[in-house]
Amino acid sequence: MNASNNNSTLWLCLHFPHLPLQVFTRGLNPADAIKPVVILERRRVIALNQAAFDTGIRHNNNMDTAYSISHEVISFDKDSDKELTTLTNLAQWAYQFSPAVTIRAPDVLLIDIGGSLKLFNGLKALMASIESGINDLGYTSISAINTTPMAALLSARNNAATNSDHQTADNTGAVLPSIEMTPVAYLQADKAIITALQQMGIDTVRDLFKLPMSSINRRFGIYFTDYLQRLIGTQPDPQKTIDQAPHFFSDITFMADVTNTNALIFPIKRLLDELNAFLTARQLHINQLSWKLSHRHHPPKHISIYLASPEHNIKALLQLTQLKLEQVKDVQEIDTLSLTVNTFFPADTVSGDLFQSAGYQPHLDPIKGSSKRRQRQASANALLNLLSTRLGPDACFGLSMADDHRPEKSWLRLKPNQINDDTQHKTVESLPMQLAQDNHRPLFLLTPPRALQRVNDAPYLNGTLELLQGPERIDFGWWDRPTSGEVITRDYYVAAHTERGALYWVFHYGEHGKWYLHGIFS
Amino acid sequence: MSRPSESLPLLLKKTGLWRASHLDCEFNQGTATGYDILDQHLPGAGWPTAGITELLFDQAGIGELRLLAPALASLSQQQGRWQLWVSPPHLPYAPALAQAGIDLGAVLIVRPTTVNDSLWVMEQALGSQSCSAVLAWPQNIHDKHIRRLQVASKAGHCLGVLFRHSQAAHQSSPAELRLQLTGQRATPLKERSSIGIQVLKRRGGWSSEPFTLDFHDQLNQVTPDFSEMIVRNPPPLEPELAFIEQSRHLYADERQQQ
Repeated sequence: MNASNNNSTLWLCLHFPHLPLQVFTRGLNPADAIKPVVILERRRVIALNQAAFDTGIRHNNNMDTAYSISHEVISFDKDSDKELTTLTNLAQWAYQFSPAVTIRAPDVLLIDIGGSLKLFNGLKALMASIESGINDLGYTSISAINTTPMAALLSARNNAATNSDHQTADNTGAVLPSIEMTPVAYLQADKAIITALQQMGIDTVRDLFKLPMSSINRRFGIYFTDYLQRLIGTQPDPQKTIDQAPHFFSDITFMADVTNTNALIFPIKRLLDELNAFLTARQLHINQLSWKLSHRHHPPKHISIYLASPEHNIKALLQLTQLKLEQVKDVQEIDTLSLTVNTFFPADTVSGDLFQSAGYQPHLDPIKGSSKRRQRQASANALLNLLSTRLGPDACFGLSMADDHRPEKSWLRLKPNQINDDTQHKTVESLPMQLAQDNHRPLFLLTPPRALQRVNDAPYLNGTLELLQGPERIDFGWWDRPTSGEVITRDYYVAAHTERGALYWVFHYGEHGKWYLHGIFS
Repeated sequence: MSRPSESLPLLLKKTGLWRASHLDCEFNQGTATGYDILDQHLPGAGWPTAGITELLFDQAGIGELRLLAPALASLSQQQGRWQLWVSPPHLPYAPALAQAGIDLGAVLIVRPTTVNDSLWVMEQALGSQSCSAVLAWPQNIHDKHIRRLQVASKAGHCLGVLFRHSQAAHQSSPAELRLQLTGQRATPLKERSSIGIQVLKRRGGWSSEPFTLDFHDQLNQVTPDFSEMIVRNPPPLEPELAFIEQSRHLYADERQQQ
């Protein structure tokens, strides 16, 4: 490769000739790939896999012919919308290699890799990682490289037609010599122009460029000459690149209905790998994702996974998905699995503690003082995710103080995703109302308070309770219900069960009101 | 053939045998309980840093949690580790925890619905290395479960505490440490509340005699009875105050007329 080309644009064209087929077959286990699959458009075979080819089915066969050749054949109608969605996903996936990615429907991606060569250790390594990535996603592509997008596209179409997908045209020098042997049939031009050229005896691009440009212009119009100039790079050719709206959606369709959720692990891994590449390319983290298990005859089933804090850990997500999937009982059949993520967070640029990766070290002194929750170990969050996924988001909660003096309202319940949020945590110091040290509070609170019997004016709980301390009068919020005339002050006492030695927090309303047990000094 | 006086130290060194009279040899430093008298009775002078501790008692409210509170407070300072409360019988009350010095950001409460789930939670949490303490109030737990928890707790360097009914004292248990707690009669003369403790099982020692531990609080302090000082019949008001009272009535009358 020329050193002078290092910083210039270099276009990679990825052509997906089997896209109509592969949008349906990529969800297959490798073991299932032996089933013959054909894609039909107007009852004609337009794409087929190797197994179908081996049975003797050919392109453009009638549907009836295909079925008469093999009764095992699985057929799908061509789905252009699905192909476009898939191509868009692939473009989002390819965004990890370069910011300039262009979609050319129906089956082509153009990527400017000129600026990425150094980052990915050269063209060879870059091409290897792109090709293996596409294979891992379950697609096959034919690639070509040239200095202009149109020339790359032309070479790719040529390669696809001549089935020379092992020889990617790696042209990084002048445009014209590399494409001059290409037949004119693969030019991006009207069929009429190409037919006219062929009738004139012009078969290759070299023949075409021997003609004077002005006569081509006169004969075929300004658009065609403009295209030719963009092809050889004498005119600039700006491309409309994809915008990276952070939205992730991908799905997999199954050949046969899946009845066992264990069989979903393989496609789940594939979708998560896709998500992984998406997140890496954009430096994003996620805190929730949702799976949809659907079947044409049943209402779809949604599975959502929430994380304690935004992160990007595909292994953990796979584990959580499996855990959640084990709880799914009421799904009989599934024919499509899809993964959607809508909310994204920018990846934390704060680099972690150098020693955090080593996990907890029992012999190291804990660092005191700085209680940044952000620095909570990844493993601690992983545990929280694990618990809230298996037990449900409501079974797990944290605690915080609240700015109120009333016992019921002086604490807050924090959801798992709030626990790591610094702003949710109110410490004793941050509250204007400070608890006096000599007002004892019980470690356990009964919610709601439990009514006690009154024996000889004293509260009774498996024996008479003796009042030790009190009363501590707590006004119970006349401002919350100003209209009711009832007594809303409570007198709290520390009471002891004299025989057993247990200490309780009891209260009564007014002088002769009912006694309630509100807390236990455990 | 070596003489007994030589082979005995060798045997002690090579095998895991220890002399019952030596409590403190070769044990890791425990987490200080915050009570000197209890530290003296425990191997490692504190709660075990890893392993299951069983607290056995009949009646909630005798101070079984207050006994743990100083240790929990110091453990809650460990960066990025949870203190997991697995299905506590009542709500742990945030202001009281804060009063005891426990960092609320470390407290995590889990309420599993089934026995299997709660055992799963305990084992995961104890073994995860991301918890400094796991407190649990199990309903029914067999010694084979406790053995698993004990192993997980060792792997995770985590203090595991099981609060159990004292009926379980008669069953054998693979726990590291077992304490029988008894409530102490509140005596009006003593300001501080107290709890009776008997060590049933500990590493490197027999069970102890029962002893009494005083908490660092004033829960038993009785508020003096001021009721005799309550004035039943207020004396007549001073003349100036009476005037103010009168004018208040006048003012009220005027407003009514309006």
